[in-house]
Amino acid sequence: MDEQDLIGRSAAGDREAFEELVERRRERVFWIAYHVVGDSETARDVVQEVFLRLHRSLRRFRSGGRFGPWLYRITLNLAIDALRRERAHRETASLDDVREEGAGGGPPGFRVSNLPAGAESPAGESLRRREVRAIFASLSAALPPKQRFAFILREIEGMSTAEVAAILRTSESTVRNHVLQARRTLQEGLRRRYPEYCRPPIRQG
Amino acid sequence: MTPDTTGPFDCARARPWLGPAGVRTLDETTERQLRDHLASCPACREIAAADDPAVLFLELRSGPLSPGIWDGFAEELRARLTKRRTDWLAPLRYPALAYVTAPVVTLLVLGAALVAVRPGLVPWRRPGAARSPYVLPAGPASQARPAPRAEAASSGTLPLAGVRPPAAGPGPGSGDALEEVESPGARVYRFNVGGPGDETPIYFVVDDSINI
Repeated sequence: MDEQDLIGRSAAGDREAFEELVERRRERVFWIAYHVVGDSETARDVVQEVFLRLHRSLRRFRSGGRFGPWLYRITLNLAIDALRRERAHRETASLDDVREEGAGGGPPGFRVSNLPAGAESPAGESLRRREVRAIFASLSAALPPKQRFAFILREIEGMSTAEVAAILRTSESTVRNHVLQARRTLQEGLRRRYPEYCRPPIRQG
Repeated sequence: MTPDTTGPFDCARARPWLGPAGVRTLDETTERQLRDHLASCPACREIAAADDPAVLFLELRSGPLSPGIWDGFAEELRARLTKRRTDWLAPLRYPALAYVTAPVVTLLVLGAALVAVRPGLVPWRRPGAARSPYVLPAGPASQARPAPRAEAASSGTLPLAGVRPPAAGPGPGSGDALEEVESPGARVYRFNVGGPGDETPIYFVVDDSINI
């Protein structure tokens, strides 16, 4: 069934159509939330909140409007709220927890040094991926929010510049600029703090 | 450089672009194809990392989720949707009416603070607002009933409770009358003490906005 039909039927109160819509979009919503909050449990909660919000506001969605950017904008906003709550919670946590976390300043749940060998995150990520995620969390904490979100959506999620511009409600040239600036900051951070990830490849033969 | 623009975007198509100048000359579609390839190809990513270490983060591109991640998700969502239907107070909670409730609450708090600091601003908190301003408290004289304002106004003088009424014409008791003096702001009353020729006027200023 076409997504516009699903949206229309969901708005009219069709529970099955709404569940189908959730099924189709929840993975993308999860990943966006996960890139922002950095914790799969929190990201899952954000996904629930997103679809609750969607259910409530679906009637206000203009038919013919761009559903994806609208949904992902809700996701970003709720993920930011969740991240703020997590950070507030962390600030009240014990001093030992704070020390253990180091000076990374990234989202909760990321500690490169504390990753257990062979462990897999609930999102099914390998140790290597979790380590890269931890590095991203620590380096991207220095980015302005819009640059960070532009980089996440454009580079990590692989969305087009037009899609990202629609989600962030800005122009495409601003998105390109944000991505460029974010890339430069991350490159500098990697070279300075994680030079082992910047070594040139060893050519064979 | 004229790289191949046909066929799948594989390593052979990607590698000519991996270098300091390569990516900058690409149009958006090709650049996205290149990024998609880099996300899935560790070998090309490693080459690209020499110029742009941030390609490392392409490894974070969405992959398959662990199978159990959605266990119970639909049931939980259904339960929350059902609960929300019966939750009549939900619209009053954040963030539904936040744009209305936040300013209202702010105004209420500011109003309460203002009343606490300046009680005279509200009529029911004005001390003595219901009383005549020229009734002297305490003492046996306080038993005396103050003269009605209208009655006093007609004569132009207000009898001071516990004080003898003014005698007609000059005399020893003529200074004991409380007289309202015209004033643009507060109410001002005057009475004279002392004998004729040695009178000293004493003024009372009644200002409801002053709270001592």
